[in-house]
Amino acid sequence: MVKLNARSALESGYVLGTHGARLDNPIRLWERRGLIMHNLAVWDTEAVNGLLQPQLGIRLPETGQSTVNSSACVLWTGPGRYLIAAGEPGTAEILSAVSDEHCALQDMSSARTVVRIQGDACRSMMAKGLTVNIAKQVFTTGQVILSSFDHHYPVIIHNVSSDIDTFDIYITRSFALSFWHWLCDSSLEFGYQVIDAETNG
Amino acid sequence: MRIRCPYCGPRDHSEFSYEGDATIKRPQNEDAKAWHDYVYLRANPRGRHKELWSHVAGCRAWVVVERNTLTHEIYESYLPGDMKDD
Amino acid sequence: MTEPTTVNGAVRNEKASGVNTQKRIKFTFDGRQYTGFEGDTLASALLANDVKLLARSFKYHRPRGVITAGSEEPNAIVELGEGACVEPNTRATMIRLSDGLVANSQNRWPSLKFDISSINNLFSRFLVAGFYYKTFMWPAKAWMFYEKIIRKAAGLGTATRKFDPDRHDKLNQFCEVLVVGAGPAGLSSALALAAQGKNVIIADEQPAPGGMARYQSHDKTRQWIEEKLSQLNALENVRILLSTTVFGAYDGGCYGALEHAKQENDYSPRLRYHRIYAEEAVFATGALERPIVFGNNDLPGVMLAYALRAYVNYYGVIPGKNIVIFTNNNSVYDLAADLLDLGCRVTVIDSRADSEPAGKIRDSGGLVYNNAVVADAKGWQQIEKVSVYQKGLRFDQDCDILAMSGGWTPTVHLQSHLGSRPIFNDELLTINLTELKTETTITVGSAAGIWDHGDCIRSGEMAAEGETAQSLQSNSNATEALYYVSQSRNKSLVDYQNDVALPDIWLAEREGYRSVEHVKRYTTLGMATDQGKTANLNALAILAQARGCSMQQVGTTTFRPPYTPVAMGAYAGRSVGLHFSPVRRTAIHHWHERNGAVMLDVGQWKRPQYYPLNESERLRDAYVREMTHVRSKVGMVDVTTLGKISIQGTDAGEFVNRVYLNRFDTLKIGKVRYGVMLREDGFVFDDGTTTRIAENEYMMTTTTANAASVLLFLERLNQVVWPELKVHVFSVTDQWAGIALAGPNSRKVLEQVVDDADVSNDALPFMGFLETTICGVQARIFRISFSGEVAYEINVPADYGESLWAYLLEKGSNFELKPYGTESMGALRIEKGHVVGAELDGRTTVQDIGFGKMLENCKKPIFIGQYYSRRRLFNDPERMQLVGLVSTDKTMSFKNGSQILAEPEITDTPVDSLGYVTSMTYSPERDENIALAFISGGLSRWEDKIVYAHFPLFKLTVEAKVVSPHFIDPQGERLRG
Repeated sequence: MVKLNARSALESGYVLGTHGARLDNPIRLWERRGLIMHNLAVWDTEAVNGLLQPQLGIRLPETGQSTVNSSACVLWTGPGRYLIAAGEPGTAEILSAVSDEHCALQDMSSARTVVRIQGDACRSMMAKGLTVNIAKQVFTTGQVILSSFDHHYPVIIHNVSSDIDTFDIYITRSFALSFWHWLCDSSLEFGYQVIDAETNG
Repeated sequence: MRIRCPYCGPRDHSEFSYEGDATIKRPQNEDAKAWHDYVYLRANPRGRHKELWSHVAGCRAWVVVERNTLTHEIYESYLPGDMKDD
Repeated sequence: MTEPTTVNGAVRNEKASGVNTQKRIKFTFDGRQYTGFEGDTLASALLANDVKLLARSFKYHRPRGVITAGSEEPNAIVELGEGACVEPNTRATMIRLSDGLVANSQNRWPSLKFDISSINNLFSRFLVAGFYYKTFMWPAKAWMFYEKIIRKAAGLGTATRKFDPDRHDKLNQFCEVLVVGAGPAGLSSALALAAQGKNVIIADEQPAPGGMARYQSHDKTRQWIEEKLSQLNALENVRILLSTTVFGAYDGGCYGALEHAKQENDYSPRLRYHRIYAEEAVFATGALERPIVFGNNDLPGVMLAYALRAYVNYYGVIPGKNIVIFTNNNSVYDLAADLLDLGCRVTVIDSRADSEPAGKIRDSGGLVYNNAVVADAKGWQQIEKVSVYQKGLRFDQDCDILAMSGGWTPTVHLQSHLGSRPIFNDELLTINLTELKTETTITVGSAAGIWDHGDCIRSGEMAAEGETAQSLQSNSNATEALYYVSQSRNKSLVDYQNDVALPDIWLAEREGYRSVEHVKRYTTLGMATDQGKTANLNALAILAQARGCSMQQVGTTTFRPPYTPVAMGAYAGRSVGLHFSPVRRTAIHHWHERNGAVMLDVGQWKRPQYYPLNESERLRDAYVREMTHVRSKVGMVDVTTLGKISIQGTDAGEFVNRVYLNRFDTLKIGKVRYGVMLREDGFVFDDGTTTRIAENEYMMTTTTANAASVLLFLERLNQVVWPELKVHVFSVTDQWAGIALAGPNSRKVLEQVVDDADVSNDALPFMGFLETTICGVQARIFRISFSGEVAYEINVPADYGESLWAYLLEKGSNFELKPYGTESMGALRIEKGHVVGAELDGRTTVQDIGFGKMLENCKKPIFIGQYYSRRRLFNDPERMQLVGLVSTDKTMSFKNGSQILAEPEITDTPVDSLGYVTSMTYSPERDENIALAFISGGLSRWEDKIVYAHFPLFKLTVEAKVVSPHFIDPQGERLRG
């Protein structure tokens, strides 16, 4: 059968290599492609946890938080709303087992482009465009921020750090390339390195 | 100016969209005066005001903010369901 | 090139603490090259090179020199840089020397020394405050002549029209306490707060901390500053921002600050705009010294006493040998001592009867005259002598520098931004805040009227405990009131930068402009780029005396941000060029670009407007070609940008039913319905199609322009108005790429691509929906038509959008599938009479657009617009209703916005129009120019009649016949085929 190809919104701007100031610790940037993402709207949290826990081994997170296991991560994205990002194809089937009565599910795998950034300078770089406090003591591992960069780019930022500062930025797809330009420009003074995209799914 | 979203915490006002008086209630009947007031009439208090803001650049929750229209001081903010009638 | 030597007495002081004499820097001023040291400002370096004349004043073009050593400088305003980087109106006292720096004087022609406009000075009697309100009146016609000359003469510097090549950036910062000012009070406050574990940012406009304390000659003070700085640097919870001016205090603990950033690498910004969010703030903003108002107090060589001290002790410049100091307080005597130590001749003219520190000066060889004032300064383009008045007698004294001190004024701009009004305090003999402490701010140090070094430090520490240092406020300098010298014979300047002289204030008061706000605006005092920092208090005192009332009664004016000028580039940051505005692209965007589409900006989106066949094909021809192809064969257009909203939940159906005017409770799964959404005032808000995807899932489309506002509207209904409905709404615009396949061959093309779905007319009739796959990828097919031909809208997940587009073209080549753009898409819908935003402009009702039946048939108890949609007035036959127009002359096309009249000529204005044209196009099928319009009385009154569409601005009148707005296939037979 002929195949339709999935293409990244960043294709035309994704230039591998080191750019900007030649410094020791450049910011590393790469796209996380192929993630299976679903929007989950919940009316009954306990009922849904009762279904998710046995099926996926994961519970819904608290406000502003995330829950993560080896196959999926669930981000809080609003009152009664969550984003489930998974690397494994089987997740979609499992999720569809979730009942209509307590929640509603919607495939959003194409709706957002996901960029991961890593490095000591990440927070200083993001602070150029975020009017939210992202200091180390305040924005900690596992937390989720819903905001916008430079008043224009709507994002979900997931702090996935453990040792090195690492953040996943989920950007609305139609804005993605424009945002990528902004991200790269913001990183010039710290030096940045674009590495090969990660493929999932 | 900073507005505290009940979910996301204090955020810059530029993340919100202002939508006006939070005390207006959609009439449940066909009363002419009630509809006229709902659609066209707004009080313009000098001082404490309950107003609706939507956290459009964040969690998109609708928030009631009590703000002083003269000094811009913000007293409190909460969800519409938690609003008590004066 | 001029070396810094003992030329005319300008010597460098070896004990100076602020310059590095090991590092020389070359710079150019007014075309001449000079040398300075690292750490010099342009002002200090020029003074060291014995250049005293730096500028010409605004109105009178009087020669001017350096008066201060800080950002309050009103006189030494120069043009920095050249070409695209030029910055006019820059204070020489704040420009740090750097290698190759170029600066020029402004506001003079042909040169600084010989400025023709100084003739203004001779006519100054006629150029007093407010002269422009009383002159150039007659003859009125000559005004356009005067205007050109005045325009050239007005203003100071000239801005460049070139693009700024520098990078500027922004940064958001958060802290618990922001300390503004790194003088003794600020430094001690920051340390005390940091010791409590607070997260602190301390900012100072100068490149080194220490404030005024830097200008003292005592080693102990210098060591103290260095010690505090290194302590602060070692703390993790303290951030120090130098060369950073906190220029504005805003609501909610937000502060704006401008940093002249260090160039760490090629990508460092030159200016950095900080938005600092602080829970609390300590204002250690210091105080500014006042000039005294006397004759020729603006001659180059006349400066503030603290400035001379700064130049001598910090910058190491001794600009004169024969110094006169004019004062009304004790703060100048340390300067006198420093100068005597350096071998200068010092004379102090003290207005007071008694000065306690005078004894030491006399002992060291200086002269001190009490009960004396300087009446006039004298000299040609720089000071040569002073005329002193003492007890009825005048005498002259030679001098090459005159240092003056009229007292000190606390800097309370930021507090003023937040609403505090300072008031004159008779005991402190200066202005003072009524409250030193507010809920989130506290004022310390000299800004609070505290002058002793140790007291300032103490006040900073007390602030960390939340205590104000009211008890430490005093007039410890023993200032006595002296604001102006009545014995002066020459022009006495009050506001240097705007050339406001003493008589101007008296004039304003005489003419009835008595309130301080009126005096400010009538004389322009305090309105220059320095916001009157060195002028305001003196003016206040002069006005109070003229009015015969107290200073308290006169009051003060309001300070507004920014404290000092901020470059427009800093506000813009990196939002220039590519980053000016975000661009929203569909998944198919790059295919359009690669294949020559002409792209159009639709809000933030880019959409293909048309696909020219070759370089010479113009829009006019392209859209006609494209639309003809759609009607005869098949075309496809990228419709991804339309708003798509998912509505899910057990109450989704009820929710949709309440939102639209027409019924949606009867919509079955797999069916699509066109819906009209009203506002609560009964007018049409938006329209679109909503599909029932599943039992409890609907997908609503909106117009591109209203996508965001409809979503917001639905969210409000969901969360605020009907929270009891179990429903969830959110945007899926970006999830799905949308491609509309339209034309007689569209079904044939569709059959080629779907995997195994039956897409026959029976299986998928008009307004039907089915979910299937294309090459294994999930696809949603909606049989809806905007063009009026058989059409299908295909949605696939956006990641596959471009691939599907290319696949369709490949599979559709046998049927001559071609892409078409928004221009032809718009023309097609006009031919069908479909309304869009141009018709739904917020003033039209359902009856106006021909959907009156929808309202008549509506029996729903609850829907948006339920009450006001039924207004009797909406049935008024005079209302403007939707019609079609056909131009009777094939060569004439309509213009949108044309006003419709029954007459071909507009003979008398004003005249009421019958209506207006909203959309127009050429119809290839009818070979006619057509338009959609609204006309009073609608079709029932005007069908088949002739009207005229006027566009007077372009002198265009088009004769038209009124017809049905459905120009082709009015029964919709093609759609259903």
